[in-house]
Amino acid sequence: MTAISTQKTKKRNWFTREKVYGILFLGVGLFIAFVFAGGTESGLMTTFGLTPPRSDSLSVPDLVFPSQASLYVFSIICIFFGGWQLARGFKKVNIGLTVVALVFVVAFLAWAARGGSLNVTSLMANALLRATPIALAGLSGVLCERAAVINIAIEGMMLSSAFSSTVAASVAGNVWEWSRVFTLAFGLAMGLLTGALLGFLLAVLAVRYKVDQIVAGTAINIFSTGITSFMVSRILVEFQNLNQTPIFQKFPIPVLSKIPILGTVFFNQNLLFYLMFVVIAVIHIMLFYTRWGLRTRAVGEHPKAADTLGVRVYFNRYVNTTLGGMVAGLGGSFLILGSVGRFDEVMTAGKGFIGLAAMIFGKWMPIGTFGAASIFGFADSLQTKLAILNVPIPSQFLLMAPYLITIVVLAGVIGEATPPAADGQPYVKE
Amino acid sequence: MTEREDQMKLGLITYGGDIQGGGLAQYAYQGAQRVAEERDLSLQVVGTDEPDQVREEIQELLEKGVTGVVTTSLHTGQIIEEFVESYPTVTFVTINYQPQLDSENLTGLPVELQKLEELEELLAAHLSIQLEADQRGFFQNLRLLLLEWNLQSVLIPVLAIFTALIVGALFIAGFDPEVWAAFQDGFGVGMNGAWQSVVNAYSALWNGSIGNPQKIISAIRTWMSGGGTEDLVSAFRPLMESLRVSTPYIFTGLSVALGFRAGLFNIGAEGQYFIGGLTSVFVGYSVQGLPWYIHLPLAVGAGFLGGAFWAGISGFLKAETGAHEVITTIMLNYIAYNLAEFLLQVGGPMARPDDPRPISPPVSPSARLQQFFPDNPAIRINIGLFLAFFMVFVIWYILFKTPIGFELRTVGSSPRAAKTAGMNIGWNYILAMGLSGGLAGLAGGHDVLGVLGYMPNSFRSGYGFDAIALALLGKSHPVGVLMASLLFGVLRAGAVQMQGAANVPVDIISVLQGLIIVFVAAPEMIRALYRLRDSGQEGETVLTTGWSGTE
Repeated sequence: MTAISTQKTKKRNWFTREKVYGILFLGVGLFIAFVFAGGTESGLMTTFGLTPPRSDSLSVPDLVFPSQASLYVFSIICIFFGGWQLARGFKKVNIGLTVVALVFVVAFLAWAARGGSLNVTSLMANALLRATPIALAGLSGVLCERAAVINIAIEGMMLSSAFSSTVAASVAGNVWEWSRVFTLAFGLAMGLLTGALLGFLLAVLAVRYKVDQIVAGTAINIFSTGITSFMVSRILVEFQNLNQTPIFQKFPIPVLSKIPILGTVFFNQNLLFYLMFVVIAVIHIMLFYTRWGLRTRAVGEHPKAADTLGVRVYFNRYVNTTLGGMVAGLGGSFLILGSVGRFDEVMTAGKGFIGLAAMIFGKWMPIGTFGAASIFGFADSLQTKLAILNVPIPSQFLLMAPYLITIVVLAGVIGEATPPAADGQPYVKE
Repeated sequence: MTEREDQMKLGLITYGGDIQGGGLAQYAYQGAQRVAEERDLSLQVVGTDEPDQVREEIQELLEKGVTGVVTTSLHTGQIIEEFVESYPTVTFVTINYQPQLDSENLTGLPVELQKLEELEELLAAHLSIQLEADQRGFFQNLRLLLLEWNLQSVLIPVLAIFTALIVGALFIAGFDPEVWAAFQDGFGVGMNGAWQSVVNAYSALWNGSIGNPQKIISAIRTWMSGGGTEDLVSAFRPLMESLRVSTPYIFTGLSVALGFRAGLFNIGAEGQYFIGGLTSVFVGYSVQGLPWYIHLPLAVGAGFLGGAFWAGISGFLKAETGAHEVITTIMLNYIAYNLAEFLLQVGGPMARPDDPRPISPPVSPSARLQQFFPDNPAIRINIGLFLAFFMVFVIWYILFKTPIGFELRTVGSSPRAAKTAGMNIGWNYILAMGLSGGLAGLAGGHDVLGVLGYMPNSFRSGYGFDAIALALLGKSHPVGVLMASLLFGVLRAGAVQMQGAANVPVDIISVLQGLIIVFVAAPEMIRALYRLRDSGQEGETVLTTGWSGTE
């Protein structure tokens, strides 16, 4: 790929990536000025609520500002960045890109909430909650791909785990009548177990049988869709009490949840949400500060060298892929136990794949993956809020947003992001 | 003679004698040379005096993928006979040696020593005819294809399906509440219940897809004894419905298979099918007053272009930025669903006016794919089936008989070699995705123009994933895909009956598909299960690449 793209840049010297970004920034600025500000009557005020109703945190006053004037300011900022990019160029285009994207989002919100009010804090809290399964899917991808196993089966793993979590927790709660804590723990455990089993299956197919990993993953996806839908029609429809689980309630962390804004966003969520941060931290530390992590990365980059040095390549891939499946399973359980408490056919709706995009956007780093996932979560939660705001966009287009963003991210970022060198290649011992 | 990567090769093996020495070798060379120039082949000449080397040289030549081999002596002719049967697609010619072996791809060319000059003419003419036949003969190639597929490569898909059906039976019995109830009355009763459950399900599958054997026989009797054909039509209805269900499978299966051949994994056939349906139905209802021979091709073509455009986006993104097609095609699926939802919602831009249902206006009769039994709305088989058969041939022809197909396959099997040979990889990705999406779009066109006559917003079908299973089962070969599609049509059509008659959810078919893919992709499992020996000839047909494409 690199060879091809360098050829392209040689052909059109002026029309570089930097220039394209500059023009893009200018375009965004003009768009804000003409579409957003131009379509806003002067005199309207935008209110950004900062304290959600029924919140634990100390309250802060709402942000109120004139809609049109602020939009013009946002537009000028973007135009300035575009001009600067074209004339001088930022050392790192990503800085300009981040700022302009952020300004655009704020401008969009200011425009959407013109003459009304939007609670930004609850929007962000909701965004992170929706980002959790996506982040977990991405983390599953990180674990597998660092060991050079492409895991496209995350979607299927999440779906199967969500299903087994549902049935396990329902049986424990409604049939055996366990206490809530044990019921939830049992549901979670079965979800993790299912994910781990499917992860192990993927590893067997990819490592032992050297099946094309994408094909193996697709098979797992199809199988999971089939088996869960089959069981829903066969069993859950008939026995409704098997599709009814308790959920993890909000668990405000003492003291921290009192902090304005941050308290609501980060410290007033459910236990699985906090668990995700633990998983991120553990994976990050394990990957970059332990012997296991060093070996994993070696296996992912250059399995032959790793093998020569005595690292058990196959074993490492088995362990990583199984763990990856477990993390995907956690994501699946979250969809049930951390959110709705009942299973619907194909309820993952592409979250596993969006998680993979988050992983790529996050450059195969646990923390980056979480960051990317929050963007997707934000788009997702925005889409629900906008329905009640004054936005003349059909809801179907808003529903497309996360998928469009995924494509744009993949197309825009992949050139800069490098996957582990041996990603997707089976290793044959000599 | 310069040698290009994409050129077909001709090999000449001379034993003793120089190609400029005026003897047999020279005239053979001139004859071969003429054919090579005429047909734009590259000619490789191997001259040898060492008997021990001949075998190795021939082996090497054949491994390079020559399309024709000419030998000039008794000695080389004898050796060549050892290779004839292992290379059924290569044309062999021996000069001055009457072959002992009776094989269609081997001919002996006797030459009188006094008339050596004639050899040039003779050889050129003979080779021309032979190579021509190779390039034209679909049925000859079909036969060769079947020869190439050794027993095991046919056996493994069959066993994969068989094993999947067995596992499926376990699921059917294992999750049947009636079976659970039966087991409470004792083990024997339970086993009997389980057996009954499976037999009911699979016989419903058979009756719903092939037809009830008793009904067919009695219908034939009635017809033979001069009765009407009504019974016959109704007895064969399930089979015809299976063929109707197979039709979009053929299109989508070809779609994914074509992608595989070019090293692309198109799992977005579903979205392309959606868009193809949308564009077809739009041309079908919005254009009025055209005769059918203009309107129908327009509507079908619109479906092809719609799908091609949708998949072309992924191809373009892959070519330009390296974004992996697996993710982009899936994302485009969701975008397509929402787009259709928006366009077809009540009061939407493509919705039927004054109708409470979210469906498009009816396709005008001039754009409908004609149904075989227009009087019987329950039988929806239509001429789209012939279009599907035709596309099987077209895709086979493009893939294996044209330079375009050669490039696509080279890009798929070894992008590095393709790059070295100066092929434009990016363009091939766009082209392959475009063709692939176009085929999926045709499936959508078939369903709206031939079956429904309008487009509902709940058009989801699961073709995207089914098509992957089809391409894998058919080993990415158009004819294989055709066979697999007929099988899947039968399974799917029967599954609907199975749900109605035996209360087994249709989703069981997805379970079977997942299993079939795993077993076909990991033949070692099947071999281990049935104690088969590894034939060592398992061809690599499916190739996907990592995230950044052409690395």
